[in-house]
Amino acid sequence: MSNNTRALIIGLAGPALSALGTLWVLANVLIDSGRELTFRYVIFDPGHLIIAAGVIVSVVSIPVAFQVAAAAPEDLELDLFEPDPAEQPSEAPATIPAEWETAE
Amino acid sequence: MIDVASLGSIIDGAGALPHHELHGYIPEPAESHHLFGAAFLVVGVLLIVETLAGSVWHRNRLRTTLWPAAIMSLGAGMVAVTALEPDDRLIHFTIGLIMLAAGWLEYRHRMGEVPRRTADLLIVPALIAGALEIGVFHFHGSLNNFGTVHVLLGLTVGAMVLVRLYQSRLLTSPPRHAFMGVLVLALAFELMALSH
Repeated sequence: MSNNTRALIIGLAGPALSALGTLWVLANVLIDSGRELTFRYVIFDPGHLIIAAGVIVSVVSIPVAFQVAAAAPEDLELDLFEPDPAEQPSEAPATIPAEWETAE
Repeated sequence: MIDVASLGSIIDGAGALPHHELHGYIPEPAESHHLFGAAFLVVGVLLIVETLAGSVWHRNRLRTTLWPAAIMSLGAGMVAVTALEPDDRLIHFTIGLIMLAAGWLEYRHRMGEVPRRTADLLIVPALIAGALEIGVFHFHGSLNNFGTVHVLLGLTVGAMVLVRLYQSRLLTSPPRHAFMGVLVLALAFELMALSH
């Protein structure tokens, strides 16, 4: 997948989610048009929550989309988080230290 | 003069705030499930974005810690639900603790402090316990909206166990990484579908 395709998907993820939320709200209005529009309904209704989730995703992912578009292809590979072996406690040395040999 | 009888009605025998006294201030069960669903929706989409962005995502340490922090926050929220929701306290509390512990280990793994295998030693059993609690004990034996959604939630968390193990076998595989995001999205929409 090219950088631009990845960037496009990342950049559109949030707006697409908000669009889905809007469709959910509209569908709800068509199915249940008699519902009273209260503050409580707005903040807990799934449709409105999906719109809000889309806004949050957009805030995080749109800057990432620009970085991805400008990145080198090798920067788009997944990171490994395994601890650095150099920082792990080392086992006992297999060889005898030189000063022990000279002492004999 | 404080009326002792009125105080008694505020705090019930279990030492918790009764639901009816706070009605109007705290979310109803379906509403809190929708809130958790929205949070999982954000986390799921961002997991897929993380897959697509690769190491670009990890240029910012805040973004690296977003997934474990979100799981820990949701776990803390679940523990808070225990105080507010009178039903299924033990289940909510245990799931909250599981999420807190799993999020903390995932954080330590992402910081390069523990290997993936060590993190999986707790995360995989935690997911299995979560799947059983949600799908079996929270099911309450009825295939109404509440029961069906909880069976689906349990199955989705069970699928997460398999995906986590599959992912651990090849950590650099983008499809395996993205699949976990897709399952989190499924979890989110299942929570949104709850209407009791």
